[in-house]
Amino acid sequence: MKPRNVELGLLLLAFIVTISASALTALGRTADLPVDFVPFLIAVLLLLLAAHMVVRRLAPAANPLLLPLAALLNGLGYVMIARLDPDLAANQSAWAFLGVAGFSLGLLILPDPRKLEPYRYTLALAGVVLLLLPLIPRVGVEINGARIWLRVGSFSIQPGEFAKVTLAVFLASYLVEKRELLRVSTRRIGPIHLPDVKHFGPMLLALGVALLVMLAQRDLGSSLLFFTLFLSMLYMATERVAFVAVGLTTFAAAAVLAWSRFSHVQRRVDIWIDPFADAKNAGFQIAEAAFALADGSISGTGLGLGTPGKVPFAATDMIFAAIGEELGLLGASAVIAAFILFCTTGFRVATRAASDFETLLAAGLTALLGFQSFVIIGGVIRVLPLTGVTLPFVSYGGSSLLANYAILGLLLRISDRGEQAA
Amino acid sequence: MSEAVLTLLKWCVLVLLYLFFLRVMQVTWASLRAPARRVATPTGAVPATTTTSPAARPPKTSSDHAWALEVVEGDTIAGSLHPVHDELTIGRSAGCHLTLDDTYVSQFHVRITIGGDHRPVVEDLGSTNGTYLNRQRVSSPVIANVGDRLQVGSTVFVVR
Repeated sequence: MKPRNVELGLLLLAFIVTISASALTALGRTADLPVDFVPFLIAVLLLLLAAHMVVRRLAPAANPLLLPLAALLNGLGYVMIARLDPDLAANQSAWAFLGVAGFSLGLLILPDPRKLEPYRYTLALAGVVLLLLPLIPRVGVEINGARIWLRVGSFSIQPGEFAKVTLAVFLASYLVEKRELLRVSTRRIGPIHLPDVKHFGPMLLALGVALLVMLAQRDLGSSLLFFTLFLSMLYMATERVAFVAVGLTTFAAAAVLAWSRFSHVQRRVDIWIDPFADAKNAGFQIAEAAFALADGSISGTGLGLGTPGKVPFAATDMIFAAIGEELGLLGASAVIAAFILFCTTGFRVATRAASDFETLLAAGLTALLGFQSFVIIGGVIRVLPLTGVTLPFVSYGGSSLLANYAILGLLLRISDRGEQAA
Repeated sequence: MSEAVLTLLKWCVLVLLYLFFLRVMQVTWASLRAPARRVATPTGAVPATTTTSPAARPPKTSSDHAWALEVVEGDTIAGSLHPVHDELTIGRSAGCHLTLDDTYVSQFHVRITIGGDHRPVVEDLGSTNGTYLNRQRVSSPVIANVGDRLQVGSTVFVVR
């Protein structure tokens, strides 16, 4: 069966799931379908068909699973957001349309991702500038203790989401060129072989600046993500376990240091270990998330029948708890399954890519998306201390949605080129 | 609307959700099986019609066929023919049977051995950039046939 026909079939299934979930939410809440249900149905169908036609035309050989998985996650997220806050849902649907438009434009103007390679330092600089923008007075605003937002009119933009993508492109092109040099040991101290330090320079500079900025903004989640992106790409490029060991040791030391020095880090860890010690204040969010998940049980309370709005930030950071409450363990597992399938597909795209740069870029972007979902789902279900990042494609947030559609577009482009070369 | 109907509909949505994944698994399974079939008939990709000499196109299992690698693309040694007797190692190291001065080639990159059935077996020696037989990366030893395209770094051989 042709990949595009498989994609169309899966998109229609994702459409049916989204539409029936949306209808059921309305039935659960008001025992009636909303008046704008038919226009909504048509809008979702048109959006999915438009995305499909763009891929059919511009990336005909690309993997057929990526777009439907993203569509399903986006659809489920939208249904949950609409159920929690209709105003946010209106914004989110606008962002989804913009995301698909941006993704189409990207596929149109970028027939070969290797064209990004000459701009690697520009992209690295752009990433750092994007990260720095919220620190500018008046333009940047602090929301919920993290200064990572730009206020433009009535919208707030989180430029760090885009910085992650540009920095991934930079790392991929830099590592592909320098990996031989990074692998080879030129110096020796006792039994330890060390590669030449100068080849690490630009990369460590970018990493250091990015991490410093993120820590200054108290954005623990993004700094964690960027660090894991860096480490996984370095490992994939060089196949040196030693780099991972050094990186993880440094990370552990930094984490212990941060924990002993900063009260806000200590508080997070305390909440993580025992959210019920102060369940009405500090631990409220995590405790409510635990109640929501417990309420959901195996098959959920039913869409529109739970009380997911009780969890603070239910539409953004905590959306996984909302899904777990109304769709239960089965629905929450489906979300995790979708992320696992998206990541395995992304890595498969990487192994079949046409050039080394594309392999590394696809693997890096996939790792980024995978880690991000792991960090936030892990935070909600108390596997990790909670760090505020969005659940890709699912959470409310325009910047996040646009950046994830950019990642999806790059993966489809790399996949298309890889399959055509094979 | 009654609670029983809503519960029923809830299960319907969950079933639909998992039908989506069932279909995804089905597609993944089919696509994972497809390349295995492609490796089984590797000569399909490159037609072995570049030579008219009957001696160069023997039956594939002939035990007296003299195997060789012809360089068809490469910086310095294009056109040359390299015979494979029992074993041929290719790499950047001077210790290889065939040394390629190419930064994309690892020190000991690939080994071609003539197996028990007198057919060449291509085995990647853990190279950085990989060895490609008919544009498929060689991850485990693979049997090559006449006309197959073998890429090592930026050098392309055709099996003769």
